[in-house]
Amino acid sequence: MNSNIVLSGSELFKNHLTCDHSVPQKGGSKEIEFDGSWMQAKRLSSYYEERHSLLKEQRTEKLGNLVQGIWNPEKYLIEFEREMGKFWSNMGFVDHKRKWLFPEEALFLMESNMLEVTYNDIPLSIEEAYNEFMSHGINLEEYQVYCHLRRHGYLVRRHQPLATDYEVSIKLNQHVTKSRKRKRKKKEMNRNIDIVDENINHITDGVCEEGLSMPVEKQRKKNEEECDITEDDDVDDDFFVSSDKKISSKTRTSDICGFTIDNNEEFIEEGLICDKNEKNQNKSKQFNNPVETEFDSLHCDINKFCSTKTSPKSSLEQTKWDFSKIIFPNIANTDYVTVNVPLKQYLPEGIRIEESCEFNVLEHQSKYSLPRFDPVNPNDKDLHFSYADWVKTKTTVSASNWKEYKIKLKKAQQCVEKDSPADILWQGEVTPLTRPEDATSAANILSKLQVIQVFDEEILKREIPTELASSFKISFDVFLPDAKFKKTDPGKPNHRVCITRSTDDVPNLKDIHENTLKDGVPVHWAVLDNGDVAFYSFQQLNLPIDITIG
Amino acid sequence: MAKNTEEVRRAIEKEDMPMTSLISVKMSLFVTHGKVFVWDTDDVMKLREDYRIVGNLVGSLPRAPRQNIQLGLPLQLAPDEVTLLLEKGFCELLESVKLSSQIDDDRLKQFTDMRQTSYQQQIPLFIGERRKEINQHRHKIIEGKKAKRQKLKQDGEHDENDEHDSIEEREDDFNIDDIAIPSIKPEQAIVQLFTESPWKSRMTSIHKEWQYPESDSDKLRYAVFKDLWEKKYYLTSGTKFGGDFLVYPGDPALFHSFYIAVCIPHHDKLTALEIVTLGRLGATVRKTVILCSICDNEVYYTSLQWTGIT
Amino acid sequence: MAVYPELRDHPKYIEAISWCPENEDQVMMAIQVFLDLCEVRGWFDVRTHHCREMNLVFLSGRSTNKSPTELILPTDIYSQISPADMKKYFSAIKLENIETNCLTLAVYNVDSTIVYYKMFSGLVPPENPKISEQKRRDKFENFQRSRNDLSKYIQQFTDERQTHGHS
Repeated sequence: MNSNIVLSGSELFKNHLTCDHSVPQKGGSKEIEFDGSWMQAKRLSSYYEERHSLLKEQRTEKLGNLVQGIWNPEKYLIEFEREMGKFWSNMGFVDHKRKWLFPEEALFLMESNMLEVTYNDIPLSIEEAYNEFMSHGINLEEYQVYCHLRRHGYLVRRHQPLATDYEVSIKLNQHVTKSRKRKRKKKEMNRNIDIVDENINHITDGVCEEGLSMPVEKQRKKNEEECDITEDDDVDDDFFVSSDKKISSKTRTSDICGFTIDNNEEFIEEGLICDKNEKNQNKSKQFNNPVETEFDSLHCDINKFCSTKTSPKSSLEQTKWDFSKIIFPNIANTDYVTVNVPLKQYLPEGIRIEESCEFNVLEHQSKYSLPRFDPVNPNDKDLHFSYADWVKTKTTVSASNWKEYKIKLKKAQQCVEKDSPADILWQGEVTPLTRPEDATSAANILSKLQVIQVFDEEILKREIPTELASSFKISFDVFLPDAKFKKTDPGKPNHRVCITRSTDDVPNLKDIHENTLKDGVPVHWAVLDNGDVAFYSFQQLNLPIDITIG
Repeated sequence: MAKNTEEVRRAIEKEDMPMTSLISVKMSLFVTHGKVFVWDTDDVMKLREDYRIVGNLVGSLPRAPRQNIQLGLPLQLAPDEVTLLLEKGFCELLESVKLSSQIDDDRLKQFTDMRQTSYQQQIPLFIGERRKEINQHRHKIIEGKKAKRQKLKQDGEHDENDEHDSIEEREDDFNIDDIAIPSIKPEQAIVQLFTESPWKSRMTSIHKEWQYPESDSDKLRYAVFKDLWEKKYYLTSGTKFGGDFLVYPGDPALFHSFYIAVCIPHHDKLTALEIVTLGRLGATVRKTVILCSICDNEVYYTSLQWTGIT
Repeated sequence: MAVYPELRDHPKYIEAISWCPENEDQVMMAIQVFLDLCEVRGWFDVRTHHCREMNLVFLSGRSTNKSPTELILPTDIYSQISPADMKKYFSAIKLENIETNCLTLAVYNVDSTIVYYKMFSGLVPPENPKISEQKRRDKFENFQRSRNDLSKYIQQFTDERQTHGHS
C-alpha cells in the first residue's frame, strides 16, 4: 500500500475532529498585467498554498456513518442492504427484493462521503471506481454532468420515456402505478395482446357488433428479447412492468369503451410489439418499446437492464383506425345483413365461425315481433325519420341581417329541441352525452364522447416522442429539489438534459424541435469541454402581436 | 538529471524501493476511458506551479462535496496538455488501475490489518477526547447529579439525612474522574475513503496508444497551444468565449485573460463579416481575438483589437 | 453595392481609377471610405494610395491632429480573406515613412455604412482598461470644453449683434 496516501489512526482522528467545512470564496479582483512585482508573487504563493492544503485533504468519515455497498461487475450495479440517510428516497431502485444503485449514483455518494463500495471485501477507491463504473451504461461525460447537477441540489434520474398528453389526460400513468400494486399476485406473463393494424379496417366493416363482443384475450407473438424477460420466473411481478402495464391498459380500455381493439396510442406507450402476421405484413409495424428503456431506468428488471442489447427497436410505426370508415351496420332498411368473418387472429381460441354470416333481418324482427317498416303504409311514418332533414326543415329562418338571423336561428333551434322525438331523453336528470345532430359518423360520436380520440397519422407523429429519430440522446431527467419526490412516481421532470462535447456538431433545428418533446419540458444541452460544463437551451418565442392593428 | 523510466523501474525491482521514488522522476498521468487524469496532489500542484498546465478539477471536494464553487481531485487534462507534457518529458502516461476479479488474500489481509491498527490507535484518542469533554463540563455534570438527587429526595425518600448528602457530594467530585466511558465500538472509528488508489503496483503498464493529435485541425490546435505555451502563457479552454483557447499572462486564478485564440488553417477564407463578428466578440469582453494559423511551420498571429471608438 | 454615379466625377476617383482601372468596385468603395473619413469622422490628412502588388487603393490618415498615421484598407463584406491573405496585406500595404503593424479594415456594407476594425500582425495585448478609461475621460472632457467654448462664442456673437443693432 502506498504509505503516502494512507493516514494513520492518529492522523485520521485529528483530521476528522478538526475538519473545517468552509469553502474558499471565489472572487476578488484579478490583476490586469503581469508585472513580476513582489505583491503579485506573494498573492500567487498564498493562493498556491491554500490550494495545496485544500486538495491534500483526505476523505474521512465514521465507519458507522457509511452505507456499505457491494459492486457487482456482471450487472454493473451496486447492491446494498442497510440504507441510511436521505438518499434512498430519490436514488436507486429495488429488484429481487434487493436494493440497488446505479453506478453514477453510487460514485456520487462515494464522493460525498456517504457510501463505501467493496469488491471482494476490499473497499474501492474513487480512482478504481472511476475506471470500473464508467464502462457501461454511463460514460464519463454523463457522470460529470450528473455530478454537477447533483451538487447543485437537483434530483437527477436517467431519462425515461414520457407519457403522452393523452395518457396523462386519462390518468393512465397514475392508474398503472396503482394497478401494478393490485396485480402483484397475478403472473400474467403469457397474456398477449394484439395490436390491430390498418388492415383491420376492411375486416371490421360491418363487424362492429362483433367487435363489441370480441373477447379481450388475444394471442401475441413475442419478440425474442422480450422472451428473455418473460420466461424468467425469478422476476418478481412488482417489477415486471410490461405485463402489468399491458393488463392494466387492457382492462382499462375494455372497461371504458367495451372495445377490445384497444386504443393504439396507449399501446404505443406500452411498447407492445405488433404481431407480424403474414397477412398484415405490408402494413404491420413495430413499436418502439419504451418499456425496454423503462427497464433500464425505473422499473428495473435486472436481467433486461444488464443485457448489452439496449438498442431500442427500429422505427416507430403504428396502426391507424379510420373511424369514419367503420360503419354501424344499418339493419333498418335491409332484409339481409352480411357480416364478414374477422381474421382468425382476432378471435379467441376454440371459436369457429363459418366463412360468412348472413343475418336475416326479417326473421329476427318477426321473432321479436318488431313492427316492420312499410314504406307504403303511412301510419308507420314515424319510423322513417331522418333527424338531419327534419332539423333543417324546422330551422330555416329568414332574416335581414346577421344579428337577426342568429337570434331567430337560436329560437328556432330551441323550439326544435322541445319538439323533437328525442326530446324526452333530455327531460330527466340524466341526459345523453351526445346530441342527435352529432350522429354524422361513428368518428364524430366517438370524438364527442372523448373516449377514443380520432387521430390521424400527422397528429400521431407529432405526439409520439421521436427520440430515436434525432441524433441527440436525452440522458437525464432533472427534478427540482423536493422533499416529496417519489421514485416510483416522479411525475413530469422540470428539465431534461442532453449531453454533447464541445467538439461535436451543433444540433440542427430539426433536432432541437424534436427534442423539445411535446410535454413542454425544456431540454438543455450540456456542453462538456474536458470537465468544464456549460448549459445551453433553446426556447421557442412567440413574437408579441400588436392587437391595436386592424 | 532525469533518469530513464526503465532504469528506475529495474532499480526498483532489484532494490525493492518504494513507489515514491518513481514518482519523483516523472509525474504519472492515468488514462481512464480515453480521458487523462492526475490523482496525486503533489503532481497536480507541480503541474500548475512549475509547468503552467492548468487542467480542470472534476471531483467533489472532500470537505464540502455538495457545491460547485471549488472542486477537488482528480484533475482532468485536455489532450493538448497531455501531448505537450509527454513531448517535453515531464510526465508519463499510464494505464488506469484495473480491478482483478480474483480474490487477493494478501491485499485483504493488508487492508484489514490497516483498519484494525487504525482502530486500536484511535481508541485511546477517543477516550482522551471524552475525558476532556467531561472535564470541561464537570460543573454541569455535578449540578445535574445534584438536581437528580434533589428530585429523588422530593419524590419520597425523606430518611436521608444531611450528612449522607454531603458525603455523596464529595463522592461526586471523585466520580467525575472515574466516570466510565463506554467502549469505543469499531463503527465509531474514523476511516479513510481513498480518492487515489493505494494499491498502485509498480508494474502499472504504460499506455501506448496516445494518438493525439491526429486530424489536421487537431494538429493545428496543438501547434498553436505549444507555441503559446512556449511563450510563457497559461492556456485554458475557450469554448465559453467562442474560441479555441483563452490565453493568460499569468495564473488564471489571478489574472484576466488577454487573448481568445481562434485556430484557422492558413488558407481558409474568412469573410469580412466573420472578421467583424470575431472582433465584436472580443470587444464585448475586453479581450483581443487572435487568429492563429500555421505558415511555413511557424505559427502566424493576427490580432483583432478592440479600439474603443474610432 | 451602393453605387453613386456622381462620384465618378470626383477628382479623387478619377485619380484612383487611373491607377487600377480594372478594379472599379474597389476604387468606388475606397472613395466612399475616403469621404466618410474626411467628412463624417473628421480625420486629418486623409490620402489615397496605390498598392501596386495587390492592385488596390488604400488610404492613410490621422484620427486627430496628434495621433499617428494609420493605414486603412477598404473592403466589402463578401470578400474572403484568409490568414495567408492577411499576411500579404501586411507586407504589401505600407508607406515609406510609416512603421506600423496595424491595418484598419474598413468594411463597406451593402447599404453604404462602414465598419472599422483594427488588425495587427502578431500578438498585441488588449489595452489596459485603466488606459482606455482615461482615454474616455479625456475625450469627454474635451467634448465638454469645446461645447462650453461654443456656447461662449455664440453668446459673444449674439451680444455683439445686439450692440451693433443698437448702434
